[in-house]
Amino acid sequence: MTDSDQNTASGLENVPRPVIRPPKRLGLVWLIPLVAALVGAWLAVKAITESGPTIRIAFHTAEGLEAGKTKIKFKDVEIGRVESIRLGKDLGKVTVTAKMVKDIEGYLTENTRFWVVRARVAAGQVSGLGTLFSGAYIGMYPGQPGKKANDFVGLETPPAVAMDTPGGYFNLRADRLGSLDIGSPVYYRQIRVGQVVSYRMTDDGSAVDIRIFVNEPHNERVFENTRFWDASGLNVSMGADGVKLNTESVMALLIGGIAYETPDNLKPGTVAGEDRTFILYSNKDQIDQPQYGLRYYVVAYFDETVRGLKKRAPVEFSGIKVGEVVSVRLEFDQKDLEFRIPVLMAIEPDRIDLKGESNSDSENMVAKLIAKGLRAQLRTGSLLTGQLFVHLSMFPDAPPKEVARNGAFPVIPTVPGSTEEITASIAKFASGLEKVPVEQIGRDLSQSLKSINALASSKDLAEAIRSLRRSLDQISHFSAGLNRETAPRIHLALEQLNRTLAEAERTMTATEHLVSGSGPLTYELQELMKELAKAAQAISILADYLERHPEALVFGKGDPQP
Amino acid sequence: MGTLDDRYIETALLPLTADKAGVVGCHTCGLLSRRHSEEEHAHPLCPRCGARLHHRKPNSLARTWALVIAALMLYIPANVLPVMYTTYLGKTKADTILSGVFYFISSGSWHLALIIFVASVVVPALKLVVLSYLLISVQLRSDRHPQERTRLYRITEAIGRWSMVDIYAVTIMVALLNLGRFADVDAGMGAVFFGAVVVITMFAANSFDPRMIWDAMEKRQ
Repeated sequence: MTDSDQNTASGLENVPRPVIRPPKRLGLVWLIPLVAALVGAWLAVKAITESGPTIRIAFHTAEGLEAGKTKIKFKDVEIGRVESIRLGKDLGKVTVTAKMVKDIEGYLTENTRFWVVRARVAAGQVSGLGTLFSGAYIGMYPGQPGKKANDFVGLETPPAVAMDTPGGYFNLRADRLGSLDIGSPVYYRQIRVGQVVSYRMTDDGSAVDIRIFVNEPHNERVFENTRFWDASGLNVSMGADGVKLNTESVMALLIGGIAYETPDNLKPGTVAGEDRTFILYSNKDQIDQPQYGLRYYVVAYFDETVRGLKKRAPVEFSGIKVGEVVSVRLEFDQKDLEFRIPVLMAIEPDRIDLKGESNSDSENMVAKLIAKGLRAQLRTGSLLTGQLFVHLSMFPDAPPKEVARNGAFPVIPTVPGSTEEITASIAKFASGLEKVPVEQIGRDLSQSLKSINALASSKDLAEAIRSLRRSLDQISHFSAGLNRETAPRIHLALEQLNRTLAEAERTMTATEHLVSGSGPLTYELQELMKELAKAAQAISILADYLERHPEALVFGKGDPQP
Repeated sequence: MGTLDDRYIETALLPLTADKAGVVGCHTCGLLSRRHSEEEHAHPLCPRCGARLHHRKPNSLARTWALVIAALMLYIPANVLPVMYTTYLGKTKADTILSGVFYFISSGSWHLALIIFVASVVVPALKLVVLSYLLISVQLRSDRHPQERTRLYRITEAIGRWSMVDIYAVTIMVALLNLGRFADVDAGMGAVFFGAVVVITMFAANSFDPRMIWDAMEKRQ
């Protein structure tokens, strides 16, 4: 049986044969799986070769971090991603495991630092606002090259200054922090040149160490004798020349700040090295005052009220500050039932320029001075505020006192202060008034009045008054005559003079009129000149004619020639 | 007409096919042509309309295998790589197909999760599995359940396009949401691979010739 037989049997003998075309291509379809395999292989190879190291970072808290989402960035370039977050073994730390990109592998050393960047509003600067939307991310700074590492301990606070910023760090020691915070500005000549990086209490708790960063090139302007002061807030000073308001900037007013300067009266010294420690003064005035290390303590007992006398109130000698009040206390003697107010004062002897030689020590010197009349007195520094200060002065008239001691401190005797003195002088004045002989004065006064009366009623006086009136009358008469006779004449003369002047003016005007171009004289002169010119011309023509026709003189002017 | 079994018996009793009759039907105009004996090496054309004639789809097994293997290979990156990057309030999230499903489950919309899971995970996987099964069964000349296998093939061909739902969703989202850091959607490489998988499986289903299922039956007889 063949195909054609079958066809015949089924009645399909008329079915035509197909057209034959030679085959062209084969198996192109296998390109598709090949391409798919290549793409898959490429993806796999890429994933393997590009996978960077896996690192672990320990943090105190994973606040804001999310596994699979939180990125690790350096200079805002994504260099890794957090893969998982786990609690440490003792639950004390959080271990963040992150996959880094391959490029960064060589920079992950033991000096590499990681920190979490969150939105932060501090000390006048707002940072990481973008993280409010995008969530926190982990910042990184590669640091110096070093040994390779895969385990890190993250910083709890981000570094205030980008670690590769050129500049220098300095330490400041202050009594208290004030309104300073991390990020508070540092000013040099009122230009912001740096900021506070960190602060901490000293180990013994007696002071605060503030670390600041000063940008290049201003860190080269910090010298050995440069003074730093707290430029926070407003510095109000009231002096003889009025009220002064000082602030470094509005920023410093609001958030505090530090300023530095090298005082003109000091040699700058060498450029201060990195990490040098300076004292932070509490205001600018302090840097101008030299510091006195040597202090000598004395006590004074005041009988009057010490209201208004504060700690650090000045102790002055004839208006020059020589020290300050250290403490004001109240003492009660139980035996004698007496209250006393010992005021402890620190005298800084370096403030006084010494002259001459002396072999006695300070104790003896004080004793000698007291014997000579050295006394302490309370005085009002400001009537407005009632501030008191201690005034030391020599009172040679003061009753002599013996040198006493209060513990270790010599006692300086006191004299009543200014308020007491005023009261005393008023009392003295009142008692003086009492001694005035009022009766005697009254008697004298009435006698004087009487003699005045007698003088007024005397004849001489009346005569004198009369002759005076006569003289006055004469003077009046004379002046009236003067008025009547002389004045009209003067008037006449003046009128005449006036007329003359008017005449002169008229003449001048006429002359001017004549001389000026438009005057009649000028016109006539011009006309005359024209006539003369015409005449001259006629004579010239005549002469010419006569030259050519001399016969005309005899025969007269003939007809013109043809 | 009776049950399915009846139909099976009928077709078995009347086994005249174009193949048996030694003719080839044109797919385009329906004209029957005489089958050429050297069909393996030549390309017959329909004498009436000029369309290609083939007794069975040419290279059906090889072509389908190639496409199925390609689809299988692309199925891996399609599921591993992120399909969509969604940015909301600056936070960028990369989602693969499965993580999207889990996201919808965790956020409570399990019905959405179900749709995505069925359309994007189950259907492509099912298609690949079904096609592979059909290919293997044809190559082994299996004569079991030819009708069920044919139905499987029909289902596979019909549901293939629905896998594109995910791709459409992504493209529409990318076009609609573009608010920078606040809300933004970007397509990931996974979407490309996934789209490739869907298209290639559709081609694979198309290049498979279901008549091969029945060829084995006839040869047995």
